[in-house]
Amino acid sequence: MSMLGCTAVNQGPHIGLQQLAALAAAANAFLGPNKKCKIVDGQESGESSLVCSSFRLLVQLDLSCAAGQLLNETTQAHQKAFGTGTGCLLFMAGVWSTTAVECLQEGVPVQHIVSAMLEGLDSCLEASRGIRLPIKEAVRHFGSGGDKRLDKHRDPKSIEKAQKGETCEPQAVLRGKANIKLTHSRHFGLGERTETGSFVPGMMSSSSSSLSGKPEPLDVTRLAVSVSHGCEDGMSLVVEAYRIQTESSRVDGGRGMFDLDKLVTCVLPGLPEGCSCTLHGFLTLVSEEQAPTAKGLEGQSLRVAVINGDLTKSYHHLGFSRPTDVRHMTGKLDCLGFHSESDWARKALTTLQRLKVDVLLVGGMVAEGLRQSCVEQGLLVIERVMRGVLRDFAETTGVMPVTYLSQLDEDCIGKGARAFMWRECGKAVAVNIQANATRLVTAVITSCVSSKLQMLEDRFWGCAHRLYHAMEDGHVLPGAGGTEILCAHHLRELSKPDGNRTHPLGDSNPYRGVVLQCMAEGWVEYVATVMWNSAAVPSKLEAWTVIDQSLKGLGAGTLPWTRLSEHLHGDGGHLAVVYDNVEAKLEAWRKALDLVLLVLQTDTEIITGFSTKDAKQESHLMLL
Amino acid sequence: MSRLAKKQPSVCTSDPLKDEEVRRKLAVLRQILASCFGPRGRLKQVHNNVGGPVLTTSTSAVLLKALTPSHPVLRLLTASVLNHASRFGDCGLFAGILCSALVERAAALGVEAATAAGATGGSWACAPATCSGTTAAARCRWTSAAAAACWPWARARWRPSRACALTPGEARHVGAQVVRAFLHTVPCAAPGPVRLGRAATVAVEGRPAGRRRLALFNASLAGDLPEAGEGTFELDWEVSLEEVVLGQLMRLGEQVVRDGVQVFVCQRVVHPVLQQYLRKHGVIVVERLGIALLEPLIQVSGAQAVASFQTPVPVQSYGQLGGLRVLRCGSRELLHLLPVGDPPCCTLLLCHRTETALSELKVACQTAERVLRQTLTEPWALLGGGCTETHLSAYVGFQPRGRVHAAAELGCSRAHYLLAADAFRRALLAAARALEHDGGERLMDLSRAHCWDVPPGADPGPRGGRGGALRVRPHTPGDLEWSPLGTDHPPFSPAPPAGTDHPPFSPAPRRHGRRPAGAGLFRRQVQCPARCRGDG
Repeated sequence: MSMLGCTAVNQGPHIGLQQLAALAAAANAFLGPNKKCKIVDGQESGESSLVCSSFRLLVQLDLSCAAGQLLNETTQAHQKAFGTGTGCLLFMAGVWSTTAVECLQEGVPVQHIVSAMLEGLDSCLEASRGIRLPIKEAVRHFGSGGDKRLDKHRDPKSIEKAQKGETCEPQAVLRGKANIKLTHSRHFGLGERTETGSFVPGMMSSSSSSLSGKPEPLDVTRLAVSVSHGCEDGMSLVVEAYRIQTESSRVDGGRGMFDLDKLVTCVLPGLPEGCSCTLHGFLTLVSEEQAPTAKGLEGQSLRVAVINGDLTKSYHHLGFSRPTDVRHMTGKLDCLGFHSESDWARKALTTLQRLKVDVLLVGGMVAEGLRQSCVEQGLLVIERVMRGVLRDFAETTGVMPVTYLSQLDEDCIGKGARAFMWRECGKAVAVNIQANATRLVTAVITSCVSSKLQMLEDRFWGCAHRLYHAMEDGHVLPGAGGTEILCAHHLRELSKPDGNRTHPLGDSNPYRGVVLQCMAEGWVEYVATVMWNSAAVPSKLEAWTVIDQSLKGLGAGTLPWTRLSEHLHGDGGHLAVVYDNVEAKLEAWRKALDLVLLVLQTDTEIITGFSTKDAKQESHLMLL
Repeated sequence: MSRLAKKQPSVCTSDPLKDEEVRRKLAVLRQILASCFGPRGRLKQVHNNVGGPVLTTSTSAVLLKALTPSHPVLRLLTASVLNHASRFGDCGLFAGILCSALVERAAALGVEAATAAGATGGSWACAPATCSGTTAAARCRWTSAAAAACWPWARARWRPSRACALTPGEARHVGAQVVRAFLHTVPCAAPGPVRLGRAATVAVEGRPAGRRRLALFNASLAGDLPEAGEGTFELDWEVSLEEVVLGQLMRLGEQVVRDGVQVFVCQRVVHPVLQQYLRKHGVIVVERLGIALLEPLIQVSGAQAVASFQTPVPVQSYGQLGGLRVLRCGSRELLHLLPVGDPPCCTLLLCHRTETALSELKVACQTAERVLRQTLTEPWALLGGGCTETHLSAYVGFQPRGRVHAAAELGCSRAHYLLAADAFRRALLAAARALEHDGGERLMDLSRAHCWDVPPGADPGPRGGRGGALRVRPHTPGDLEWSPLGTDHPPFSPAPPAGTDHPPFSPAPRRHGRRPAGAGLFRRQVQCPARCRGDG
């Protein structure tokens, strides 16, 4: 019999908030440009994986607590919508949980915490929107504001140094500060960044094209550098992808927009990281046995067919339920194998040959027997093709995706694609298939260390989304903690008794000042962590001191962001101009606060499906 | 071979409420419900401890559905609350709190169960006298003469819980959309009895307009065999069942194309081969519509859902559409089916940041819509914020003195009758007190029996003075004599509340929501005390 256990969590400190804070603290090292990786070790499975972003960490963790699951749900929702900003979300959820716990300990009633924090965030969102910069202006700032790193890259000596694989100064600082102990493999860690070199030529080519009277790519390159957040290698791939997309749409006469739907990644293990690049069209790895087939098709105009799901005899479309209780009868003895696998494969091959299909793109798997016979007949079969790629082929070659081979007819066949050998990867071959006038771009991500591939791919997508959102929003926020400093300052001003009370919920809240003060500290903590992680200060305490001084130095009223960043960076200028996305960041704050308030206002955790026996063992549970 | 099991004898427990364990469980349930109550009610997280999804809610219908109490008494209680919530769409929490408080208090009295039930019923009987009729003390009428009145009313009623995670601006926007959706469902100038339409809710995370013919199926067209009851199919080895079914589907497709259908909608899955055939002939295919949208689509298009693909489609079952267009909402593409004419149907498109908040928002919007509909059918409102309960409790506390003969009717002593009536009064006050969650005080004035909150640590003002109490309730005129809710006070007959002096739908004072007097209100035959209010 299913039972129900309930446990009250509001006795003493709030357990849910503490869980949130603890989980968020695990992702502190992912803030800032110099991310420190973590190894998640499954004790039971014996598997371990390398993670370097908040949402991957949450996916890997075993989140049995309710607050943890809500945190995961929120983070995944944000990742799905924006593709960036989960680190910020997780961190703010953590510090604001701590804020709420502190306020509870000081005896502030829940309703007053809720109203004050909502007021604080609303007011900060408004203030942040006030200091956002149009991207054109931001890029101009970038040029005149003395970005030392860009100048450094222009210096031929440093380019040479970078191309040789020597690390530049900032990385050297990073290396000195890296305090993770990675005993599993000497290949782990981000210290060896030879790929810096690959970034510089891409930038130079864009810069030189700008000198020859094309301002547009230059703008995007500069913007890209300012939102690269320490991942220059990934961002250079993104900029290249953008360039290919705009060029191919210029041929097409379309709009020069950055289209993430037309961007896919291809992960190739075994090649050094310097081989990462972007290619026009669809790139895929073809196995050894199919390599001769692929070579044979090179340069020809190909006929393409697309299958949505698996291509096996037993596969049926989603929603089809197999009839049960069917008995087959026969009057003959020689009908064995009538409905057999090989018979099906033979029929399938006949269909494909009749339609003269050269390349078969399949979303799922292909039956072993059919694949073998396709190889023999010189037909290239590519399995597990991403949906975006299939859609692009449908748009550009006119191919109609089908579920069953029996649906194929002449109208479903796409025409005009071409295949090129890209390079050999071991025994396999990477083949580039390009449809006419496609805007599809494949980013090839390579690494000798296969466990780093996921991380590199994630960072690439992070860069792509940051650039995309910067262009989509049309505005950027001052980065490197600048916006957060402003928010901290704003909240401190607001928490003063004569602060501007505009929020409808703000009146008659005697605890408003206390809560807003605590909340402001959350933002200071964020900036301190970013500064510490990026090795700008030797200790967190020093970071707090620096921030406190700059906060004191700032006068009341609205602040020009440049003055703010001067306060933050001094005039050493060793930090480049950094920008953040507007909507991704502000939405991350909103989601973080919503989550914290949701957990704060939860007083009971109800566990269903509890057996009486278990409940008796756990004395803190109440059985309902 | 059959399995033999020894038959277990049935166990009979008399007076289960005497069991300490049952009473403790009942108290836990009441605490859970009470802490969810009201606009500032606390949320509950329900999960199964093995990594299942977490449900965050403070809505009775959602919460109680997720619970499976171990004792039959509790199951009876949750079932009746759920029944009430599904019938009225509202007030489940209030029903649950009052019900469990009544049971708890009656069980603790030490009075015969029949006496307690009789006295409660007797006290209950005076409730309609207080709360109904045109001279009602604690209720006021609203007229639907002005459509503008709808919005302040809905605003006073629209209090999505914090689980919806809406900012005040978002809450205003969603509230306005709910009212707009509701107004769409009211048919204009229809002769005869008015039938309200439907508002379908679609949750999310172009073609030119023109009349289109629509075919609607609720049978699965995925190519499976329809359910043929018990038994085994015997098939010849050379016959492929799938091909036979597909052949039937294709015949259906041919007929539909021949009949000039342009939109083909199926509640479930459509076979890809049939889809391809239909698309090739310019038919728009919509599959996996879902049961929830089937009924609204029937209303919009006038189509009849066809339940079989093995017979030709009757021509009269086709519906009509005024047009189609594609809407983009975030990452989702939605097909907007426009009706012919102006049927009272609309779609409420809800978007939110996370799944948890979205599911709670969906419930909140559906509740609000149902409450608005009920208000239209029964245009009466009760004072909110616990005031109806305090008013009634004052009335009940004053009344038994004049109802001595009731004790004789029940065949019990007058002392027992008074005890039982007092238990009822306290249960009402317990429900009113459940609205406060932050350790603050709830006070009741001793002339009109209104109640209000004093935040913790705040000075309620001198007894009988103007002080802090009046700061919270600026609408109460004159000096007040108050007492904390739940403490003893001299019995008094409550004067009609100030609320009835207001014209209907003047903006209600803050913290003083109103609620519609729902059907089944204070009727003795309703097992659980039934009432409608914004507590979910």
